[in-house]
Amino acid sequence: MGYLMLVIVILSINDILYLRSRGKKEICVYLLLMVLVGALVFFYYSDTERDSFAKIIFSLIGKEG
Amino acid sequence: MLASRDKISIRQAIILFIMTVTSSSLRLFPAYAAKTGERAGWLSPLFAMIPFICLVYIIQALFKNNKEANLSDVIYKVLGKVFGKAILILYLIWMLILLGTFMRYFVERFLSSVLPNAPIHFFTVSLLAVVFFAVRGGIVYIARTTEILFLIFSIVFTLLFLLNLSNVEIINLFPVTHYDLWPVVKSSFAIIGLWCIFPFIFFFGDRINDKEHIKRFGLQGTVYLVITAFMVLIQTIGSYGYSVIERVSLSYIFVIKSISFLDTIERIESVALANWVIADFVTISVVMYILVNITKSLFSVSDEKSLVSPFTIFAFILSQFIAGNRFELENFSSYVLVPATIVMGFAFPLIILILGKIRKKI
Repeated sequence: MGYLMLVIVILSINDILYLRSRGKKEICVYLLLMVLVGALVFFYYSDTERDSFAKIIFSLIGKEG
Repeated sequence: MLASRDKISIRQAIILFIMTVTSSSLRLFPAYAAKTGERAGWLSPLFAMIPFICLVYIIQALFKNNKEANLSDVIYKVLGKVFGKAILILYLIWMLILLGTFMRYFVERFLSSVLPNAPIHFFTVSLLAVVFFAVRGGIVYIARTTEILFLIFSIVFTLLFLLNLSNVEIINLFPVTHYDLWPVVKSSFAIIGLWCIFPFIFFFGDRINDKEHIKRFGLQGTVYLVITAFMVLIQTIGSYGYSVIERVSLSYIFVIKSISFLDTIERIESVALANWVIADFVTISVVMYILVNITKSLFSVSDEKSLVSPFTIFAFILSQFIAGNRFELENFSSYVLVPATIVMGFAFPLIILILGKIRKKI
């Protein structure tokens, strides 16, 4: 997870520097997406043994995976 | 003649679509057709062709008076901002799931064929790095690269088919009777499900020229899709019979392994696998570009380049989170992805067209 977070930080800095000339809205949307990505990374790596997405959907629709 | 250097032609868009569905075709069609249609399963593309042609006509009708628009613009125009945004969020989530699934299938193919002990991240990172730079380059670069890759893919695919013809036994494909009609119709379900990705290409419709020719090139694409689907099904079901093919994962690679030409050319599955990777690259790139464009429309932003990074990382995580193992992934595709893609790719555009006509917006 550490390496991935590092990649996210480096990409974010690079993209925000590029987006500076494009306006605030572009940066806000970008940050929103990156925060969502960060949350997903944290969610997944906090317990990699948790039920997969497919399994969660199967349990929701009441089907055997 | 292209009107703008930032745009691609409808012919290139159709090639992008064909290459996008090719990877999944090789994986999905033989197993599904053999399981549902049994001996006559190879005829299923014929029945899948009819709804696909309807879909081409639906898309043509949607863009008849909206030549410079993309699918998001059409959705906004017909449904209004609020409902339009809700539908776009649905499409965004759906495309994210498709992206994660396609990535995972790419990895699983290597793990279950040539490199079973390799770390999963090795494949994911390798492909995503290439896709990242390709998508940042823009759709024109992807489309031009895909034109060349399409040619290479078609040549290799046809050569492998011809080499494999000697293994095909007529007894595995015939007899076909009227009792096979319903199973064949049912087996075409998976093919329709996959081909329903077609409308998603038009999420970057504002980057596609000559949309008045969607019907013409769409129908030409249908011929190519049907022929290649036939080729895949004939060489798989025809070589080993439906009872074997329905039980084998990666039946296409399994069949290619049996090719022997003049007792010198053997074990050429790596060629098929390399060819398959070409298709995977295009699939992932196109889906990611679609995601970027949906996001652009959803948040009314103009920059594409910066949106590639979040979706690349999304793809990396989702490819791991989407399923626990290969069986779960295959079940997820059969029970959830295929039916839902028909709804998102066929039913929704049809509803949008009908509503648009009623409200006189299209």
